[in-house]
Amino acid sequence: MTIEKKSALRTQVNALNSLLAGYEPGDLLKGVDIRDTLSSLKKEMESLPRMEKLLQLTHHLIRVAETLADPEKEPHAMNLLRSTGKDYEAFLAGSLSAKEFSERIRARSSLFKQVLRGQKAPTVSRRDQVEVYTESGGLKSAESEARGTEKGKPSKNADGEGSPPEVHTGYEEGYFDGIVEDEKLLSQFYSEAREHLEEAQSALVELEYDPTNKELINNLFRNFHTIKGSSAFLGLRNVEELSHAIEDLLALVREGKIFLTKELIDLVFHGMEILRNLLEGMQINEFRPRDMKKSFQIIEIFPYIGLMRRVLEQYKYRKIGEILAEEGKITLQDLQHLLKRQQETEKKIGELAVEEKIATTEDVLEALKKQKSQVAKVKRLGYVKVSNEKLNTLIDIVGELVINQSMLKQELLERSGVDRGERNISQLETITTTIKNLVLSMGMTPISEIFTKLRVVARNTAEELGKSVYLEMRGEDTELDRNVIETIYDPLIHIIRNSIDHGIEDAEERQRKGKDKVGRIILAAEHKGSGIEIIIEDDGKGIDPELVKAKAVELGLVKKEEAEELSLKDTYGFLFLPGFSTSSAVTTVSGRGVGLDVVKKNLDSIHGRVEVISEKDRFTRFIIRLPLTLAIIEGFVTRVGENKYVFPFSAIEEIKVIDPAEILASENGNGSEALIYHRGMHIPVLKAHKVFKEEEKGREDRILSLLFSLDQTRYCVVVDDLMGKQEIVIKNLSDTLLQECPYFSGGTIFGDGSIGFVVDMQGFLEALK
Amino acid sequence: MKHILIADDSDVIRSIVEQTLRLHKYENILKAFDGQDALEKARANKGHIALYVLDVNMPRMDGLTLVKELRSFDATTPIIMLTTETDKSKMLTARDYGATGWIIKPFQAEKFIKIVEMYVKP
Repeated sequence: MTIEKKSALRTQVNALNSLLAGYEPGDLLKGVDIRDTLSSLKKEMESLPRMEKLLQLTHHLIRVAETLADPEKEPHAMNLLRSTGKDYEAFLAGSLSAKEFSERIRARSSLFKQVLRGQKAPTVSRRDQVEVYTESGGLKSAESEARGTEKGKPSKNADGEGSPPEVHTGYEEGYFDGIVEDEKLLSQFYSEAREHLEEAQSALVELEYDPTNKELINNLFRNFHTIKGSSAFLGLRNVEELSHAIEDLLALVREGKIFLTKELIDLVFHGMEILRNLLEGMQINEFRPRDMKKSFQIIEIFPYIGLMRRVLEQYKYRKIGEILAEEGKITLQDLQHLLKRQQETEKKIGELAVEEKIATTEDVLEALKKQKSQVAKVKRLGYVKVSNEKLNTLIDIVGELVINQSMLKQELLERSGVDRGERNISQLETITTTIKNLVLSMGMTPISEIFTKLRVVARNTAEELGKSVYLEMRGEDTELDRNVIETIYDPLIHIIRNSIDHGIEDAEERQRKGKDKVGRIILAAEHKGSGIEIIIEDDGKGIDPELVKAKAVELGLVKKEEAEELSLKDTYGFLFLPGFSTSSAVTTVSGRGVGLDVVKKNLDSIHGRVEVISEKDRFTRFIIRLPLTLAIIEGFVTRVGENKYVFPFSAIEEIKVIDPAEILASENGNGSEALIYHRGMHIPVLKAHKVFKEEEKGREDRILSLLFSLDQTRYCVVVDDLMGKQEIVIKNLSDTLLQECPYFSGGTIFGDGSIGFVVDMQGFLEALK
Repeated sequence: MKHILIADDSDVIRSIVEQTLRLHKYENILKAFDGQDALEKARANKGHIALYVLDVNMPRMDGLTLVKELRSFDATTPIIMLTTETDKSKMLTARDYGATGWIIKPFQAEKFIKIVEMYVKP
C-alpha cells in the first residue's frame, strides 16, 4: 500500500471516529454521515489489491451502522462501531499489528452477529446470506475461545482455527482448486469415508432408540471427526466444512449441552446424505479433481450448514460474559479484559466483573437468572409420543364438541334472544375453537418425516439400478395431517422409484446429452391455497407424449384422429389408467404392473389430485395436491333445492348475484350454453341442481351464484340460497355413497340438527361439464 | 396503504417535507398542523401509518406529549422528531417516551430521504 493511499484511508477512519465520538442516541443525521463515511472508506479500499478482508469488515460495519436506526440495536451497534473504529485507526497508524487487529475483530464476531441478526440486507443476494453463515464460521472460533477460557482450560479446537471470516459466494473462485491431484489418495479417502459413514449410520439408527448412550454418541462423533480431518488434508473443502458442521453439533451433544432429539437426528441424517452425494461425485468422476469439481458445484452445502448453525444457536446457552455485554452492562473491551483476567486467575467471569467494578452485583445476578432460564428451556425441549388412534379419536370428539357448541348457541339464541348469556356463549366458542386448533395442529406432522425416509428409498433404488442421483428437498417443515402423510408415503415412493428407473438416464447417456452425470430429483412441498402441493421433478429423459398417445391408441382408449387433438394434460392423464406403461422392459423395481393408477387411487381416497407435466429429454414433474386436513374446513353453506350443500370457502372466488338480463346465450357444439360476462371474460353459467339432482327453487328475479376457478377455467354455479360462511366438521359418508357421488367429500351436521353435504370441488366441477 | 404522517405547525415546513417525499416517490402522505390534529389523524388511520415525522414545538399539543400519546396505542411505528439545535436537549426525553430518532432543522433533503428509506420504502 502506498503512503498516499494509507494516508487517505487514515483520514477517512479518523473522520469516522470523530463522528462516532460525537454521536448521541437517536441522532439520525449523524447516522447517515457515519454510513456515508464508511461507504467512502469502502470505495477507497476497493481500488487496492489484497484488501479483501478489510473490505469485508468495512462492509459489515456499514450494515451495523444501518442498525443504528433501530433504538434497540443502537447501543450495541455503537459499541461495536466505536471499538472497531479505534482498532482500525490503531492498525492504520501502525500501533496494532495485522494479527492483533484480526484477533480483536474475531473476538467481536459474536456481537457482530448479534447486532446483524434479523437484519435484512438491502439486496437479498446470495452473497449476503452466505456471509452470515461464514460469520458464524468465525463465530465458532471466537466462541470456543471464550468457552475454553471461561473454564480456565485451553481451547481444544485447534484445527482449522486462526482463519478470520471468509466469504463464500456459493462456491467462491478457487474453492475447489486445492484438491490434491492424487487419484489413489482420493480413492482411498473415498473408501474410508464410506466406511465411516456406514458406522455413523448404524450408530445413529441405534441412537434413535437410545439417545443418551454415551458410547454411541462418541462413536458418531469420532466418525465425523475423522472424515473432517482427512478431507481437510486432501483439500476437499466442501467435505471438510460439512463434516465440521455436523461435528460441532455432535460435540455439544457429547458434552451434554444438547439433547439428541428426533429433529437433530434427522438433521444429521440429512447431512450424511449430502456427504454421500459428495463422495459419489468423487467416485463417478474417477477421482479426477477437474471433473469432480463439476459435480461438486451442483451439490449445495451452505444452506445445510446455515441451518445447522441456526439450530445450534437455538440450543446453546450463552455465557455470563456475553449476556452482560449484550445487555450493555459491560463494554466489549471490558469483556476482553475479563476474559484475559479469567485465564490468569481462574475465577468466574461474574465474580471478576464485580471485583473490577465493571458490573454491579445486581447486573451479574440478572445475567445468571437469564442464563438459568435458557438452560431450563434447553432441557425442557422434549416430545411426547401419542398413538395415532388416540389422536384420531380426540380429533373426532373435538369435532363433535364444535358441532354441539354451535347447536347450543343456536338453541340459546332461539330461546332467550340475542343478549342473554351472549358473553358465556362467545367464551365457550373461543375455548372450543382454541381446543380445535390445538388438537388439529397436534395431528399435523411436518412432511420431513417421510421426506427423510424417501431419501433412503431414493438412495437404495439408485444404487440398485447403478444410477447416480441427487435428491433435493424443499419445504420439509410443511405440516400435514398425519393420516394424509401416511397415505401418501406409498405413492411418493412409487413416483420416486419411477423417476430413478425410467426418468433419470444412466451416467453415460446423460453425459452424451450434455447433462451432469449426477441426476437430480427435486422433492418439494408447500402450502398452496387451502391445501398442500407436493412436486416431484426429475431432470431425466421426460415422457414423450407421442409415445403415450400411440399406446393409448393401441390400447383402444382413444381413436387415432382424436389422439391428435389431445391436450398435453389429457395425454399425460392416460398414464394413470390401469395397465398403462410405456416402457417395454418391466424392471424389478417399479415394474410388475404396479402402475401410476395405484398412485392415483391412493390419492383419490384422501381427496388428493395428481398431474404430470413433462418435456422430452428435459424433465418430468409430478404435481400432487392434497387437502391440509380431512377433518374440519371453512365452508360456505348454500341451499340447492331441498337440501343444504357446503362448498369449501377457499375454492370460492366470488359470490355473484346475477340479473337474469345479464345472461347471454351462446351456441356451441353441444347445444346452447348460458354465459355471463364478468371481469373481462365469458364464464359459463351452470346449475348446481343438475349435479345434485334437485329442483330449482330459487328466485327468478335474482340469481345467486358462486364463482369458482379450477385449472385456469372459471365456472359460475347457480344455487338457490346463500346461507353464509361457517366452520364445518366433515363426517364421512359411506363408501358406496361416495363412489356413486364423487362430487361429495362428506357430510356434516349443522347447529340446528339438520344435515348437509360437503362438496368435493374437483368431482363437482367435472360432473358439471 | 401505508402513510407517512407529518406534523408541523409551519405551512412552509410541511410543504417542503411533503414535496421532498413526493419527489422521491412517496405518495401517501398525511399532514397535521399541530399535536392534537396529528393525534386525531393517527387514530383515524390506525394501522396504516408507516412513519411519523413530528415537529417538537407545536401549539395545542407539543411533539413530546404527542409521542407519549401515540405510543399508548402504537408501540412499533417509527417516530422521527424534527428539532432545533436549542431543543436538542429534549431528545433524550423524546427517546424515553418512545421516539425512534431525531433530525435537526434545517436538514438536507438528500439526507432526510436516506433516513426515511431506513424505515419505509416508497
